[in-house]
Amino acid sequence: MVLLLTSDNEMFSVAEDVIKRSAYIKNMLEDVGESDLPIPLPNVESNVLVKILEYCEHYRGEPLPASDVDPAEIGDRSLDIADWDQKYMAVDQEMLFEIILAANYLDIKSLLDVGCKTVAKMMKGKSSEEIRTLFNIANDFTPEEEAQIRKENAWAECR
Amino acid sequence: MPAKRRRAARVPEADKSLKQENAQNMGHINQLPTELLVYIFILSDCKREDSVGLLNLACVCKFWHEILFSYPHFWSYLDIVIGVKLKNSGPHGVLLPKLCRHLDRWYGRAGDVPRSLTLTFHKAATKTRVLYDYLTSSNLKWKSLTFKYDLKGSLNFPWLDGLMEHAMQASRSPEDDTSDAVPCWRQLEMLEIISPKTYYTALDLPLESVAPNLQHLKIRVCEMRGSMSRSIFSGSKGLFASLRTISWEEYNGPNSVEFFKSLLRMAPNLEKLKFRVSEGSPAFPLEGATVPLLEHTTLRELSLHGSDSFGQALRRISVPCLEALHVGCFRCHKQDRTRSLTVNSLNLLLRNSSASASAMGVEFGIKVLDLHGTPFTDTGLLAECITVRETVETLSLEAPPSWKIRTPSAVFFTGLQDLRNSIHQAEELFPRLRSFEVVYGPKKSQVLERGTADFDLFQQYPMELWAKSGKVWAEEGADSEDSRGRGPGRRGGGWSLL
Repeated sequence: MVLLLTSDNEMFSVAEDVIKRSAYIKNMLEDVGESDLPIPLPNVESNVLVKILEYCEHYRGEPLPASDVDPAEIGDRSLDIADWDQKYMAVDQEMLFEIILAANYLDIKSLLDVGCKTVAKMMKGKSSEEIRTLFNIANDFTPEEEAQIRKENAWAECR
Repeated sequence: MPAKRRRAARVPEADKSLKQENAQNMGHINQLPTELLVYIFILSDCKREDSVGLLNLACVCKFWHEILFSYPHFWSYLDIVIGVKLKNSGPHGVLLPKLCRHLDRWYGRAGDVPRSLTLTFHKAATKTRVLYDYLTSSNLKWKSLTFKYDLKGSLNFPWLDGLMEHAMQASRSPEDDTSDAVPCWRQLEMLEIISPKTYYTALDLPLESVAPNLQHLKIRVCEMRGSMSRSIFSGSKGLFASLRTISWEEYNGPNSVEFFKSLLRMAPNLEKLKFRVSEGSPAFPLEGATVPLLEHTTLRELSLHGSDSFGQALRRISVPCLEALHVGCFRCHKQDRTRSLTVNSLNLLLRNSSASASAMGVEFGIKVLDLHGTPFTDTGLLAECITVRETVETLSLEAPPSWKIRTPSAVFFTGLQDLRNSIHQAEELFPRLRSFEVVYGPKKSQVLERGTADFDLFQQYPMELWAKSGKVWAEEGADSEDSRGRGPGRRGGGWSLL
C-alpha cells in the first residue's frame, strides 16, 4: 500500500497498482523504493483525490495509454469520450478543473485527456459570448476591439 | 523525477489583472496552465471553415487572445471558402491581391510551422496568376494543400489545371530548363483534390517534379478520362513512389481495374489504399486466364469498393503485410444472387498473401475484416472467416437483404457452431476478437463488444445468437433495403458532395 497525504492533511492508503496510473507517483516509488512515509500531495485536496482514485480504481489493471502525442496532430483527434468517463466527468466546473489540474500534477495522461476533451466539447461550436457565459469569463474587449479582430482576420469578402 | 508543481498559467503581462480577476474562484478555467488551455483550444476544433472558431476563441477575452496569437500552431492552418468567381481583372480582380495579403497576414503568425490550406470554390474561378504565384512560391513551406470544387453541373476544374501547370513551371530552374528541378512543394505531405462533379480530361499530376516528398494523396472526382488515364499509365515509376496513403474515389471509372493495379505497381511504399469506384469496368480475365501475380509488400490496409471486376482482380494480387481489409459493394451475379464474387476472390487473395508472407519470413494475419456486400448467405463466407479466425480483432459482416434471403443465413451460423464444437472448449471461436458487427441496413447495425453477453453468446453458441437476432436483422434490413434492389449499401451506396 502507498500512503498519500493531501493538502488538507488527509491521509489515504492506496493499493500500489491503483495509484501507479499516476506516472508521477510511479516514478517516485521507483526512485525512492519502499517507504512507510506518506507521499505529500500539496496541490491536491482530499475531495479531489477521492475523485482521482475513483478513476484509477475503475481502470485498475488496464494498460497505460501510449506516450505523448505530437501537438500538431492533436487537432485530428476525436472528441469521443467513453460512457463511463462521461458519467465520471459529470461534475461541476470547479471540480472539473480541479480534476484536470490534479491529473496534470499527478501525470495521469488518460485522465488529463478526458478532462480536456470534456471542456473542449463544452466549448465546441459556441460563440464568444456563449463561451464567456459558460465559463463566467469577463469580457475585457470593447465592441470596437472585438470587431477589429474579426475584421482583420476573417476572409469574408468572397462570401 | 523532480516534483511537478502546479504551475500558474503563463500570464501575458498585459492581462495579469484580468486573469487574477477571473481566477479568484478556484477551478476557473483561466486557472489552468497555458499549455492545457492551448490543448483544449486545439481539441475544440477551432480550425473550422474560415477559421471562425479560432476567432470566436480569440474574442472571448484578452488573455485567450494573447495565448492564441502567441502560438504559431493555430495560424498554420487556414480554410477559405471562395464564393465569387475569381478573375485576374474586372470588378472582382481586386480580390486576388487581397486574398494573398490575407493569407500572408494569417500565415505570418505561423512562423516556421509548415502550413496547411484548404480552398473551397463555390464558383468556377479562372486561372489566377497572382494566387498561383503565391501558392507555388518556393519561400513557403506547405505541408498540406486541399482544393475543393463545390459546384453544380460543372464539367471541369480549369483553375486546378492551371495551378498544376504553374507548379510545374515554378519547379523548373528559371535560368536553365535542363538543370535539376527545384520542386515548389518540396515539403508538401498531403494533397487533396475533392471535386465530385468534375470530369477530368487533362489533369496532370506532376508529383515527382513538384512534390517529390508527398506522402498522402486523396482524389475524389466524378471521372478521369482520356489523357488523364494515359498520363498516369505512361508516367514514370517515380510518380507515386513517395506515397504512403492513397484515397482514390471516382463515380465513373473506365480502366479502373487496370488503374487500381497501376497504383499498386507505382506506389511501392504504400501502406494504406482506399479505392472506390461506383460503376462498371471492363471485365477482368476470369478464372483460368493467365494473369501474373501482383505482389505488394508494404500495404497494410486495403479498402476496395467497386464492381465485380475488382473482385476478380483480387484473385491475382498478393499483399503479405495486409492487416486490415475492407471490401464492399461488389454486385452479385444476376443469375446467382445468393453468392457474390467477393468471397472466392478474397480466399485467393488471402491464400496468395499468406504464401508470400511465408516466403518473406513474416507472419500473415488479418486483424480487421470488414465485408460489406457479402451477406451471410454467401456460401464461401464461412471459409473466409475461418481463414482469419485466429488473428481477427474486428469483424464486420452484413446480414442479407430480403432479396437474398432464399438461402438461409443460418447456414453461416450453423457452420460457425460446428467449428465451435470442434475446437477445444477453453479456446474461443475468435480468440483475439474484440468487436463483431452485423450490418443489416444502410444505417443499421448491431455491434457486439467483448465483455457483453451477446458477444459471449456469439463466441460460445453462434447459432443461439442467430436464433435470437437473425429475424430482427432480416426484417429490419428488408424495411430499409435500397429500392433499386442493389443491396443496402452501408458505406458505398451514397455519393454525397464533399
